[in-house]
Amino acid sequence: MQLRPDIQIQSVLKAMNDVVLPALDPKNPLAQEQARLCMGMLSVMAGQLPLQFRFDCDELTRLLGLSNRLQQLDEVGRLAPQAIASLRQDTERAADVLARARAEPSEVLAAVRALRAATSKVVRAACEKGEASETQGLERAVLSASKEQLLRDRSWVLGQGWEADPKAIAPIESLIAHVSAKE
Amino acid sequence: MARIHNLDVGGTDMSAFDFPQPGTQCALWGVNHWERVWEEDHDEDAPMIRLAAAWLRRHLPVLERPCIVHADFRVGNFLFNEKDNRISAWLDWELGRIGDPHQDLAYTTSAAFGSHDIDGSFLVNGLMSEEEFFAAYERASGHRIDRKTLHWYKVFNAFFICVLTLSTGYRIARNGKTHQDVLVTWLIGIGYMLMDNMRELIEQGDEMKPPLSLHSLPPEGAPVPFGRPGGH
Repeated sequence: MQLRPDIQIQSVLKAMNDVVLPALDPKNPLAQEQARLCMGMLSVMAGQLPLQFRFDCDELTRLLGLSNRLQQLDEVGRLAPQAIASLRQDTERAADVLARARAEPSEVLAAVRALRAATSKVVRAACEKGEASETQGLERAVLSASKEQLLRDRSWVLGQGWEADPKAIAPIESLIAHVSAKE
Repeated sequence: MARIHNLDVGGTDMSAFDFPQPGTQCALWGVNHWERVWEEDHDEDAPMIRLAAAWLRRHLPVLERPCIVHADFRVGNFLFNEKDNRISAWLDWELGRIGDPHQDLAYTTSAAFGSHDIDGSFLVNGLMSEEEFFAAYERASGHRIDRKTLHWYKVFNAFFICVLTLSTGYRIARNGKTHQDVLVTWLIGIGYMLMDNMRELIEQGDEMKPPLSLHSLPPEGAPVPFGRPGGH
């Protein structure tokens, strides 16, 4: 998927800076201020987004450390027995989540791009060398996999309004739900 | 379109253009050109693009009638005289080439540039049915349309528009090259529907029935690929 927040934010900022901001009424200070705040917020987002997942995992790691420390303190157990029992349950759930959050989003994306490139290379090489009768299986596999992926791609950009019949495209949440489902 | 296609390319100074040899060279040049663009511009490869390039090379049509191809021939790319409502000029020739008239015919009848009437029937550029359009072209040009070649050029057009939106558009915006980067980025989104359309066309093989999924324009107000009426 090429339409990602990094290029989206970059192009919005460029449009704001090069076209929209110079056209704003200089006598409207509220509009001037809020346009600059919008751009500032987007710049901050552009810097934060690639680190967001790591930031959250880091915080969760340290919260688990604090939680374990609190559970070991006798006086806390005596003073807040119900709350510490609840904390124990939440800690178990959080530890399970952290254990499953192994790879960073950037690693997943890099792996996606590497596999896209490698499979594309196979398609090109096989089709260049082989006769049509020899590559029928490959063609069927690529067409089938592309159909599945392109459905998700189309659903991902549904909000842009390209589809003639948007209801015919399943919501992206349902199409990718299996990824976060626990085994 | 028929008048442009019927111009004598041999009798005009078209020395800046490459003239394809009789046979399949014209079609092959087109595939090679756009796959090369993909090669240079893409950031994220797509097996479907590679498969489409291979499919196009395996089914290259023979060029029967070299002519001037506009390659972006649609409503919105012409000027007209308000006094008599006659077209006075065609714009946006940057994709123009000496090629096969079926390229323009396939492009103009693309679902991306048409709309539906109240009965839900598809209208070429919002004007007339595809059958009426092709019949009018055949009458005006004196040439028959080859449906198999037309189908090949529908796949080819989908292929090159996918390359433009998903690789060149991305590269332009990524490198901050234009005053329209936000529009180019927005247009990346349509590339996936176009690629799915291309996949359907390839799966149809030689069948001529167009896929249903691309039978209308984006909603009113949404940007349309390759400029809109009034220019870029």
